[in-house]
Amino acid sequence: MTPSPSRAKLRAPLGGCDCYLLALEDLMERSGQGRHVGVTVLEVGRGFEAERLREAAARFAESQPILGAKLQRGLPGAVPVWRGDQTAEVAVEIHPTGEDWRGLAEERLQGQWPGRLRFDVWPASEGFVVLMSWSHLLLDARGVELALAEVARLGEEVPAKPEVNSHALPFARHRSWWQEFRAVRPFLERYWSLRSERVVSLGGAPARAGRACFEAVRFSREETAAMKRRAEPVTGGIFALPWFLAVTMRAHAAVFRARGQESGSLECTISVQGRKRGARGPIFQNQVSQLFFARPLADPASVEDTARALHGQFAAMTRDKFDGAFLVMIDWMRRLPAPLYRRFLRREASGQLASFYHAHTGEFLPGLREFCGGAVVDGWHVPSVPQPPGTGLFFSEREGRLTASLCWRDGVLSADERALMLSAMRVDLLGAR
Amino acid sequence: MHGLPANLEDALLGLVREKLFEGGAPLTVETDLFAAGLDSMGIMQLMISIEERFGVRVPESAVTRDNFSTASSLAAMVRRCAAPA
Repeated sequence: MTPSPSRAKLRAPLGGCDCYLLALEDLMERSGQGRHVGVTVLEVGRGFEAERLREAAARFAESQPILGAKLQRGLPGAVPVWRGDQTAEVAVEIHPTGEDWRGLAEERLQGQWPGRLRFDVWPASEGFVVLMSWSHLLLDARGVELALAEVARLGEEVPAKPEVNSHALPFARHRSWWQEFRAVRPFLERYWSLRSERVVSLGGAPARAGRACFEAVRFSREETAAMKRRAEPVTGGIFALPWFLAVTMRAHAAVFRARGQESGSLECTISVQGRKRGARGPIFQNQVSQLFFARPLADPASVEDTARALHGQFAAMTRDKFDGAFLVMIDWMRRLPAPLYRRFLRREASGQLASFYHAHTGEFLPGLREFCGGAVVDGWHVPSVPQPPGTGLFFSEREGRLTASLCWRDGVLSADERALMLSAMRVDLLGAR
Repeated sequence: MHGLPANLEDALLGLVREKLFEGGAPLTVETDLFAAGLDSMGIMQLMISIEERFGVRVPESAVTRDNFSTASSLAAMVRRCAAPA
């Protein structure tokens, strides 16, 4: 890092979700799981120029001081902050043709690299594979795409638009404590009702070490179109969230069944974006809230009926303004001393609050046609999942092609169980074929 | 049907801008909201905002791609929802 004497010192308090992830990352590091990071794979065409990416990444680091900031936790009861005036060095490493990029992507998922953002590039048969590795403490999935779009903008010969705001929080405060107590009520009611369920995860408690692993399943445009036709009677072509959550739940349930486990509850928290649609920022910090979904493990329903039941929960939580309630709660928790936060998570996240992780991040980088000279062909995200729960299934789409990323911790799923989970996923997405 | 503003299309466009889209988004009453990025959460939030702002109940059967595709089609749906049975 190099000092930037002309730059004012950055001071950016962590948001509610950032503090949650900080405590989660503490737990992961203490159990030998490394940092909570993700990688984003971008396939670009032949015109891509690595040197343009190198220059754009340097400009990005210079214009976004939060990348070089240090995390300061402060005294007990204080909200942790990003602070500093240093410019980060965002590494851009070019790899030889033929090197196994998937192997290195998995290596990057272990988080054993300096900094909070880096790029790796490989020449491929039809162009290049660009891998962006990122710290989840600093970026959520939408932020990752905004960051890529900003790097693309800085990689243009004459950047057309002004640079974007980096870390403003959209959290709207209530006018009084009384209003906050009223606002948080839907969260507390649902949380306590879910606490009475016995939540199960494939990893199970306690937290333990294991490499972060992934497998990406790429669907063709024809398959993706067939999936949409199949889901249409339930989703109406517009409600993707409950459908893909139902598919993910049932894929996990298939593995539980194969293990002979039928009792318990499958629960999943789904991130919902705080940024408005079309927003070019803020890029950094986790600008999300959460919705809490649950179904019995031994749910005999079809994927259609499971999706309808989850849709009902989705509608009820939206009517109750559950996402706002969660934000109030998580904002209060920002002041929890780190040991207390970890203790809370150790009890709550030990397979009791989440059975797996899941997201459908929607269209990947819509509107971005070119990245540093190469046409954007495809892209998808691969986050590392903590154990417990130890598994996650993530979806995204680019120009009519769906990609599913199955993520797990080594030791949680056997090869047969992974095959079973992906087979169940395919059957629900495409129908029995 | 009284209670609905005369310029319902503009009122709905204002609501869409206020709740869902970035202020500078170039939206008109005929903009395809799905092409602009409307997703599951946005539809649900929009449905509930419409109910709260205009005092109508939007039945589940009315939450379709056609009805939510533009501010114009939303206005037609709201008028139908507000009409006496």
